[in-house]
Amino acid sequence: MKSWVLLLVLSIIGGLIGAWSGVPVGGLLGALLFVSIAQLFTAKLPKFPAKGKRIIQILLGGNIGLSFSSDSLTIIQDVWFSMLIIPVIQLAIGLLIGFILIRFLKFNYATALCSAVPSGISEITFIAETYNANIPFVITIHILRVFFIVFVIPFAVMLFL
Amino acid sequence: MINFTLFLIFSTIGGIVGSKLKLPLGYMIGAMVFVGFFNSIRDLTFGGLSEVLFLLQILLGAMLGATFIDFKKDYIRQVGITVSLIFFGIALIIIIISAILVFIFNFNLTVAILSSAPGAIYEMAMIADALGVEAPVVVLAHFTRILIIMSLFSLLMKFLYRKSTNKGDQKIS
Repeated sequence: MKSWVLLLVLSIIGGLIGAWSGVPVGGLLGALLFVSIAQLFTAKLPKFPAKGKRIIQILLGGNIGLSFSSDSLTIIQDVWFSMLIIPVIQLAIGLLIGFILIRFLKFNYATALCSAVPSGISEITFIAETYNANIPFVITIHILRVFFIVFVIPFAVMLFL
Repeated sequence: MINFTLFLIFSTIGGIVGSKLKLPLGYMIGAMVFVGFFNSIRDLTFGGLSEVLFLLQILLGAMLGATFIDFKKDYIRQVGITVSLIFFGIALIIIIISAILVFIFNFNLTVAILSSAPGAIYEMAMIADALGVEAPVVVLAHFTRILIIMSLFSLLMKFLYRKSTNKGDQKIS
């Protein structure tokens, strides 16, 4: 119970500070920063239960659905082909990085490729487990990847907007 | 209040349907499609609340931050070079794909960056929504990324595993 209260307090304080700072998605970044630092140093904060994650997913999906309009289907029809190109390029570059890790840093092939390919953490963890990759290492790399992108992209977008 | 209640009901129904259909990210995709469909074709006025959006941001941030329990500090030195390479790869991915999307497919630059950056789908969707860009397009890009990469990558790993063990009928542990 104490750990949940601590998680809630840290999230809210972090979120409020983030929002007040005026950065894009400040609520998310602030909560992320506060909770991740606390977790790194204490490892005592609980992970979200599956049911809680489902509620968040539903609310998030519904919220995005609110931005649909009659033009949205037309836009999706126009962009679907480009959506197929994106993952192919991402996979190619991920594999290139993976092969560099194997060739020059002498990584085990499963650990190298599972660490380098940019896919969902849960999905990659499953594959890493299947092919005997170093799972904690793979998860660590992917957590850092997501953290880096979530933190940097809003600022990058701010620069270009 | 009625509009918000409608929003909650439709989101929940959509999420459950998406999950029952065993769609990847079923709860989110189902809720998105259900609310989006009725929002675009019917004269229903759903109401989200800005407070809910803010709360969602905080919950997502907390959810992601809590995963740092799996972060292994022992690996800090080892991950240094790997992470540098991967960050370089991410920058390359974003630059190349954004350029293609903007110059060939006439994407808006913000949408291109958000669609190409290989981040977690929930967070990228939230960022797109908060920035007021085409969030459904960004969600579609990441959804497709996960589907296609996981399909191709699974096949590749299977092939490499068989090659490395040199036994076609070896069981995978």
